[in-house]
Order: sequence, then structure tokens, then C-alpha cells
Amino acid sequence: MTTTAINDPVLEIRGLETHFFTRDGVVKAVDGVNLTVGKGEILGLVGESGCGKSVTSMSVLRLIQNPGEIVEGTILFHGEDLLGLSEKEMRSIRGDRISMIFQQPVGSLNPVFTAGSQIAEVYEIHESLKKKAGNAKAVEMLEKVGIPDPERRAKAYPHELSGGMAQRVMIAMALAAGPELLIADEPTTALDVTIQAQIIDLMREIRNDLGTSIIVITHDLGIVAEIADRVSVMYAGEIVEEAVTETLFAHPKHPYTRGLIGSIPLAGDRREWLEVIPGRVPNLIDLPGGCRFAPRCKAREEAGLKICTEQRPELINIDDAHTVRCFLYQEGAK
Amino acid sequence: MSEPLLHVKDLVKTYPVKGGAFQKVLGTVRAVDGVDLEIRKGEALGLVGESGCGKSTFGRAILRLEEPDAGSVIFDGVDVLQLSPKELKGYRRDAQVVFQDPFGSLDPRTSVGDSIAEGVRVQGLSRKDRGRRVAEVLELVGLEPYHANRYPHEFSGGQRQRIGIARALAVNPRFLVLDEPVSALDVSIQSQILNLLKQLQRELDLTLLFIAHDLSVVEHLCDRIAVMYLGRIVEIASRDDLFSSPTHPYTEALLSAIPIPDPTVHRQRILLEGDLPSPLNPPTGCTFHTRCPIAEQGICDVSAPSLLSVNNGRHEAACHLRTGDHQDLNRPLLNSR
Repeated sequence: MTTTAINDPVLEIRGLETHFFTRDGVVKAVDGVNLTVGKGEILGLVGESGCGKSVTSMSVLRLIQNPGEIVEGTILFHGEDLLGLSEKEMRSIRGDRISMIFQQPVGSLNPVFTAGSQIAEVYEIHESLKKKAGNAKAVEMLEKVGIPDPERRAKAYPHELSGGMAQRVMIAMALAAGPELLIADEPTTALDVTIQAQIIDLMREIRNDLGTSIIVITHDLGIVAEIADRVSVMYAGEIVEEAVTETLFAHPKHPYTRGLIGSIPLAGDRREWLEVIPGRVPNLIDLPGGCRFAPRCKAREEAGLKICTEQRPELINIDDAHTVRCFLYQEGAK
Repeated sequence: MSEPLLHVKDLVKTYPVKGGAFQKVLGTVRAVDGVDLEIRKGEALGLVGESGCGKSTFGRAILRLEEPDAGSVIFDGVDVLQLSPKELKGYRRDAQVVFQDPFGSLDPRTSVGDSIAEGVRVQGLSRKDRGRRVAEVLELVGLEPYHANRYPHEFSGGQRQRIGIARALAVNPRFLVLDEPVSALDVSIQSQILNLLKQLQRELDLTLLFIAHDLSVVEHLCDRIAVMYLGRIVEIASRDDLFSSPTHPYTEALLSAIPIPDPTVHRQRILLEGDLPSPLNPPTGCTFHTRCPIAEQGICDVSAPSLLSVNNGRHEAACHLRTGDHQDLNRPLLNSR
């Protein structure tokens, strides 16, 4: 196993396997994932729908529900295995030391409470503050995330907020307890471009000002390029490539990463045709033997590699802090 | 320069806003507020803007899926808005639509073949000819003829969008409205559909109106781009002009907000203050002035600017300070921060 040395890791996921036991079979949504997030680092976790990126983050918070189950692995948070904690101990970590924001900001807020009171609740629970003090701190937090006229907005109900405003409220709530790790699951996907830009900048400021570690989960490579220090690319339940953001975009190695980057229209892009990854994501119940990307991989055919359909590739180190799960980069592979 | 296939003049579409116990009309939203637009034969025109700007309503109104309140839509010399229901059938053969949501736009209990054949059935084709046509269009969009007997749930998102395109193409239209056709799809599938659309446009000599919020997708596919804000077109230009010399401050802000998948590019972002104002109660004057970084009090909040030519070319923008009478007050955006 290769691990990139990260100074002062906040979160270390080792060999995580989260499976869903459905009537049709076992869905291996997360199948042996290793991830490390350093202090004050923004890690981008990219992949398409169904690749397991959200299940990974839900596993960290232990929010996996039946028929899902974390079957293997350790999730070390400051060296302590979250999977060994009691539900009560876990509750004191959720929302306090690790918090999460979701894609649908309006749907994630409780419609019958005001924005302010929902943030204040965090203070009441985690810091045992009285209602009044909690409300005052909620207004302070709303101001911190750039909401104009925070006193008035604190009294607003979720349906009275626009999408961008609701996402700021979600972020305020997630930050209220001063978490060391923030997990943002597609935080800007439901928002318009101009609002999306505001939220990206806000998350960067949070990291710079508060030193919060952030995992940004997204399918949008543009967002990752703008915000992440390091990127992990996920495919069919596995990490297939990991590198510092600049390296990943300048020298993508895995054929899937290369295909993804080639398939997005870039600004100022005058290509006649976009690159296409043929086929589609494999069924997670009935995974192909060998490399999971092999059935869609053009590079494998060009290189004439047989091993790809026979053995499962390991993550190999090709450069400092750059790992890839692909036989093309393994010496002596046939 | 080719002649316009579609000429939209001063199109207005309003919606009543109802509320209270008796559903009283509280006001009207001018979703499309006097839009003039020409779409030339064989071109792909992009219409971009944020949610709620009226771009989808515009697309539906020119197809008469919504009845516009005022204006005219001249298609190939005929005003579509004056057509009788019977004549409208002919227009439906010429102008088709592909929607965003490939899951919601197909009837789950109708086989794919029947869904695709519905248009040609209305046109009176025999059963045998219909089957042949379905097989033809399925192959055209990269599916197999045997897929006709299957049901929508058996297909992935990308395949369903292909079916949506096949259904639109079945009647052999000349004009296609694509309303966010790739927004619901995964990245690697998006490029398949974008390539397909480009290829079909060439092979079938289609004219396209491509409605999207994603500027880089529009840039890839379209020859000309129109930018919409609160029911009005604020800028229209060829793709190259729009990206190299955006003139309306809103266009500039939109362009600067596109996330660029290249971490080495660091550019200054123009951050717009606040959110889109409520179309129920739009700002006075230029509707963008409440968020505009260069708006001048006494000018921009007083009168609405009209679309005027930039440097006497076919590039047009509606801004007092950039194309109107007050160009002398014009200041660059980025240095103003």
C-alpha cells in the first residue's frame, strides 16, 4: 500500500469497505478506499454518480443506514478510530468536530424553524449556551459567511431564502461548532454560476481564516481545480488516482482521469469534438474481474495489456505524492 | 450570411402570481419581457442565463408550448402565433424540443418505440412506415433498432437523452430547441451527447436553439450566444466576440464565474452582490443595476437600456455605460474592485 506523507493528518481512512446488502446482491459502493486529509487542507474527491464518493463521506460520519454497512477498514480522526466509538461518542463528534453540508441547501434545512434558531441550536447542544446567547452567536456566524443584514435573515424561514443564501446558512450551521473537518458534498451543484463562485470563495476563506480541513465532493472538475490542494479520483468504489491538483491536471495518468479531463469543454476550447469515454460505469453488484475501468479503457487496448482483465491493479507511486491504480505504469506488466 | 429561419419580435410572456385564500392575482411576473431575436438557418444559437431569467419560458413560448402574451414569432415567413390549431400541427413537424430531464420526459409505461413514433403517428404515417422511421432515428442517435421494444427504466440517463433526441428527430424537424440537454448527465456522458448533437446538426442541417446555464458547454456547440437577464436579452454576439470582448457587465461577471479546470489559471473574479432580484418586482431602469459593479445612480436606475451595436458590428449589448449615451462614464470592471 502506498501512502502519501501528509503532515499532521486530521483524517486517515484506511481500507474502507462499505457495502449495501440488497436483494439483488452486494453493492460494493466503497471497496478499499484510502484517503488522508491534512490540517488546513482542501481535498477534492471527484467521480461520477455512483462511484462511491458520497458513501465514503457518509461512512466517515457513520451515517450509513440499512442495508448498508461498513464491513472493513479504519477511519482515524486525529488518530482515533471512529468506527470503534459508541453511538453516543459519535454524536459528540458529528456536527461538532466533523460537520457536513449537502447539495440541496433548502431541503437540508428544517422548514418550520428559522435559519437563526437552527444555527443557535448547534450552540445550545454543543456549547450548552442559553437560547439568547445562542441566537446572538448565530447572527455573528451569519455575518461571517457573508449574509447581508444578518439580524433580519436570522429570523427568516428556509423557504424565504434563495438557494445561495440557504447554502450560506448551511455553511454557517456547519461551522458553528468550529469543526476541524468540513465535508462538503456537491456544495454548489444546485446553485447558479455566479452564486457558485461566491460559495467557492467562501470555502477558501474559511480554510484560510479558520484552518479548517475540507473535503469537497464533486463531479465538477472545474470546481476541484479552483479550490482543492489535492485531488482523489474515484471510479466504481475505488480511488484510481491521487495527486496535487496542479500535477493531476497537468499530468493526468490514469486513462479514466485523462478521459474525464478531455471530455469537458474548457473555456476558450475550440476543439471540434470532445473526447468520449465509451460505455458506462460498471454495475457495482457484478464488477468486472481485473481493473474496473478495463472494459472502457482505450489505452489498455493500445498497449495490448492482458493483465488488466485478469488482475486487480494496486495503487502505485509514480512520483512524489502522485499515485495511480493502473498497470500501464507498472513495470513488467503484460 | 444566411437568412433568418426564425425571427422573434418583441415577445412577451407573463404569468399571474396568485396567493391568499381565494387565489387572488397578486401581480404578474414578466418572465419574457420584450425579446427580439433572430435565429439564422443552420446556426446553433446559445441562450444563457441563470435560473429564473426566462430562458426556458422563451424556448417554450416560441414553440407555442406556452401561449405568449404579445409579440410575433416568424418561422420561415409565417407568424406562428397566428396559426390555427390545425396549422400548428405543421409547425410541430418543423420545430421540436428536447428537455433537460431524460427521466421525467418519457412516459414510463410506453415503450420507447411508441414514444418516438407518437409524432409521426399524428402525422398519419402507416404502422409499417412508423416502425421503419423509429429504427432509422434510433440508429441516428447511436442506439439499436431493437431498443424500440424496451421501456424507459431499462436505460441509463445518457441513453434516455438519446431517446429524447430520437423522438424529436422522428418528424424530421428543421429547428430544434434544446433545453439544458446535458445538465442532468454525468461528465463523461455529457461529451457523448454534445458530440452527437454537433454531428446531427451537420448531417441533418438543423437549426438549434441551445438553452443552458453552462457557458463552456454553449461555447463548445454554438456559433452565436445570447445572454439573458430577468426576461431580457442583455448581450448577443458571435461566440468569439462574446468570449474575447464581453461588453455587458453581467456577461463579464458570468464569464469570470465559470470554474476553469486548470489550476494554473488564476484570474480575478467579478463577484456579483446579492441574488437575482424577484421578477415580480424587478428593479427600475436597467434591471441589472442593483447588482452591477459599475452602475451609475441617476442613469442606470432611471431608464432601461436598449440593445445597441458594439463598434457598429453585429455584436449588441444593452448597457447605458457601455453602448448607450453614457459611454464616457464607462469604467473597466476589474480595476474597480
